[in-house]
Amino acid sequence: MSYRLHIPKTLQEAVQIKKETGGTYLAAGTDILVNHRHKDDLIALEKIPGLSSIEEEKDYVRIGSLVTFNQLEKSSLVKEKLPALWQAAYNTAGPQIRNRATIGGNIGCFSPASDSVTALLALDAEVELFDGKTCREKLENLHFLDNTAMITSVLVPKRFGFSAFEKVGKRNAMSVSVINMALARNGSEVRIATGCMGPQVILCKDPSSVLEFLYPINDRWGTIEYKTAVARKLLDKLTKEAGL
Amino acid sequence: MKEKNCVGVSAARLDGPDKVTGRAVYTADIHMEGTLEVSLVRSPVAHAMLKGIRAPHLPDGSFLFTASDIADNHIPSIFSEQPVLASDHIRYQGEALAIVAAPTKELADKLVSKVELDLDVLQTVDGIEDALKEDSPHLFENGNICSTFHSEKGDTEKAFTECSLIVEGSFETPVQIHGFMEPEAAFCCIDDKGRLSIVSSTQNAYSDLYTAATATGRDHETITSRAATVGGGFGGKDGNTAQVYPAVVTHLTGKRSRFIYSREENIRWGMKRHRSLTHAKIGFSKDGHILAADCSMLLDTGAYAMLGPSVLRLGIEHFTGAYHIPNVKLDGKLLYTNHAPASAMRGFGAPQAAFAFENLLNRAAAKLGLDQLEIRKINAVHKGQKGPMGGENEHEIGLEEALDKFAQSPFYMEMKNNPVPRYGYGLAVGMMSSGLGKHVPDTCHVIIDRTEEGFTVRTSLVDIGQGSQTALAQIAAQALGTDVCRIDMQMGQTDGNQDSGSTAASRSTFVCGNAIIQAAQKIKEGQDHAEGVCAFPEASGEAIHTYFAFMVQGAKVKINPESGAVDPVWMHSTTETGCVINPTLLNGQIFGGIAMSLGMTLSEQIRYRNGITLENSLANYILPSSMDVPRLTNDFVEKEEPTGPFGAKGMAELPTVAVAPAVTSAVSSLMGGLEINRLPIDRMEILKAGRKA
Ligand SMILES: Cc1cc2nc3c(=O)[nH]c(=O)nc-3n(C[C@H](O)[C@H](O)[C@H](O)COP(=O)(O)OP(=O)(O)OC[C@H]3O[C@@H](n4cnc5c(N)ncnc54)[C@H](O)[C@@H]3O)c2cc1C
Repeated sequence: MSYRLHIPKTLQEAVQIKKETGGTYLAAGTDILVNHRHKDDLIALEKIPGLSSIEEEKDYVRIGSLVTFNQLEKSSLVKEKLPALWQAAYNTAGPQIRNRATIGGNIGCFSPASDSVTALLALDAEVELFDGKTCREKLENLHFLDNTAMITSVLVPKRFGFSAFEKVGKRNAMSVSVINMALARNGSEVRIATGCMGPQVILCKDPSSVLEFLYPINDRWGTIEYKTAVARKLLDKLTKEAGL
Repeated sequence: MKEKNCVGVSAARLDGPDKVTGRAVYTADIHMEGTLEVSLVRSPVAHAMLKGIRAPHLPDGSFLFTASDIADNHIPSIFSEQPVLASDHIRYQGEALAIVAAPTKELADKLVSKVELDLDVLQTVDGIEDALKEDSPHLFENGNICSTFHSEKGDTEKAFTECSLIVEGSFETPVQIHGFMEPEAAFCCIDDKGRLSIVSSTQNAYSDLYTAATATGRDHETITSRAATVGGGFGGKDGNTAQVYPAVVTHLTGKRSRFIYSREENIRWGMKRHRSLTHAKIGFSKDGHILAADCSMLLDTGAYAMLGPSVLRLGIEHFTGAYHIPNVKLDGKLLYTNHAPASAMRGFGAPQAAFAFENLLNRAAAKLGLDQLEIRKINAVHKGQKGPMGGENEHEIGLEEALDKFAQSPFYMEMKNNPVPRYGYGLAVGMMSSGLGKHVPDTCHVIIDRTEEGFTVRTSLVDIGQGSQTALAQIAAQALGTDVCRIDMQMGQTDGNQDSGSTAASRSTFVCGNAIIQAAQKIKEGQDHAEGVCAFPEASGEAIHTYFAFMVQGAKVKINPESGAVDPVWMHSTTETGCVINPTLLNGQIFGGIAMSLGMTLSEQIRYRNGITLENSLANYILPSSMDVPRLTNDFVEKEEPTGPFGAKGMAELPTVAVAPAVTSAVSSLMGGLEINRLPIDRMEILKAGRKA
């Protein structure tokens, strides 16, 4: 395995290298280095300042893209205001991975099993992207990252009085989700996101029709019958907890 | 009784400091100038005839060897039918066809990918079910039955007619891997005496020497072999894994070489625990005495026998467990399939058998209105009684004492009262032999030398991580009347030693401990250099093994109502393994064995599809994590075994035997008697049963 590693010091520089080399952004590398999912050029983000903090704003919690799962887990702000995201972070991998793995990388994987994405979709998060200039996009509208865009931060609304996340894996830690689900509720506004039941995390705003939108497949992690049965039970549990 | 100070205490592990500081040298830590890296050309398909191998252009300093380069193309084992490199008939996906050696691993792999194979693909025999079909292709001329085993004691047919209860069931257990941290690895060079020197991750340095001698045509005297620090074996390094390939390369090129399995190679093509299909029928009198048992076992040994025939024999011998039963019929078949070879794994057939027998025993207890402990007490085997094959139990058996002690435990009190309805409780008993068994050479040689600092104790036996060097140093110190810190244990090499066999069959403490005591006696009589030899005592009558250890295993579980996952909460056990040399080491073996077996019970399995495993990494072969291991407690009864070293018996495999049936019985008690007959436990079965309940 060999590649060229670039270590830009600013956002501008990173985007420039990206445009010139067509390389891949590297956060902690717990996904791309493990799965060899990269091109010849890797652009490390770790020396770019300002991407590693969690801050409270008026309507949002702003989470830098290099914030690790460990930081999320340790943050009382996240735990209080965004319990679904906190639970997702807490249930991701094990301590070693959580010390390194970033929220930006989790979104960047675009995997249906990205645990934080399920929580963030339910919480109606937005992402701030940078490709020379900054723009903002709702996560639910973001189906792939365009060639050059870098995620700089994630903005998670504080308006949901209730949110919760559930994960079923094959063991209690270091486990890919067989299925995960998050529900966020703000009065009559309900958002339910389900992971691993299709090619992407699936969002649904009506609890009574969640199951119709899921299309699991038989794979090494479980049968359609099993995944559907668990989805039903998780949905029951979450809606009950949400008082629905 | 002798006054004890070095044994019976939890001496700190001698290998501990080196391991926790990273000073310990494992095989893959050996870096030397000019070492060739070895990769194998492996078969892409599970069953085929090999018509030809076309090598790519080999740059200077790179090599490719095929079967025609091997002096005598077989790996010595029970049947020795496995070639070092397949030359015509390919019998499993991943089978080695050629060896490539190159200055870097990248280059070796690249050259491997450029080798062209000419194959006539055959239909895959994809498991036991296929192997038994009339019209399945044959792996060997004589068909797909590798070995059989049959034994009959008393008249089972007649006895069943006299039973007031008969329980019966069919069971299945999965292929499991050993899951050792250190993958298979070997390093070879020519030493300053011109000998082929093998350093490897092995359970048996001598077997590596013999295998290399066969493959290279060298005399035994021109080969030397030793184990580096070994990061776990559990049976999976008992026999050839990586060793023979660099041995061939170094022999033919004169250059250093090494071969380290990737984790994928380890998972797909390392040795395995045999998948089993078992059936058992057990008949009881009204008061719960077992009158008759008829048990059968089918094992998938994969493409080659390796130690499979012995696994079948031991599994069958242990089938009826720790009970005295007058009429017993036992049948077993070991089958060849197009799967990677299964061989030794901790428990050696006994866990597969116990899963069937112990579950049925608990089902019978429920029908008879007996407690799970009671039914075992009624039937517990005692010294002097005849075993399932008719041979007399000649040595100490403390099962009844272990059952009594378990009955006094807080665990059992809780199980009896079951205060919280969302917990389920179950128990099972495991019995495990030690020693290699009748007609298998089982001798250990030890040499003790007096030195300025104290004593060196040498043997070719290997400490594979289980801690035997500490226990043996304690025995030596006790026997010599000195302190453990004055004993220098030198283990695991052929040089200066005689063949003491494999670190296997829970034999090291017993057989090596006795040899040490013998040599120590001579030292105490004034010699500065003494040898000790112990042959493991063989069973005198109709039996394979004659020493057994016992374990009462309790399981407390809860069930996740959303996922159907079984969550073990507490495992408590009482063990009977003679006198205990080192309580902490004993518990280490017990707790590790329980964790290993929870894996097989709940999540671990290798599944084949057309001869190819679905599992290929530790992300999808689900070993338990530390978060999956429940509270573990163990106590023991010490019944002195007069022929053992300071009263000890062997126990390393014991904790793997009874975990699965204890857990499934606990689940069953929570789920209205749900009968779980297949491992790992299928969560869908639990959810379905929950829906009904
Ligand atoms: C043992 C193990 C266990 C795991 N368990 C879990 C689990 O339980 N749940 C789970 O969800 N995941 C799990 N993962 C996957 C992985 O750890 C997570 O997805 C993690 O969040 C990835 O973050 P990273 O910083 O390592 O990303 P990287 O590997 O560095 O990058 C991942 C992808 O995102 C892109 N990327 C990274 N940062 C940015 C950015 N700022 N802007 C745009 N693109 C970006 C990269 O180009 C790449 O394509 C596990 C991985 C391992 C190895």
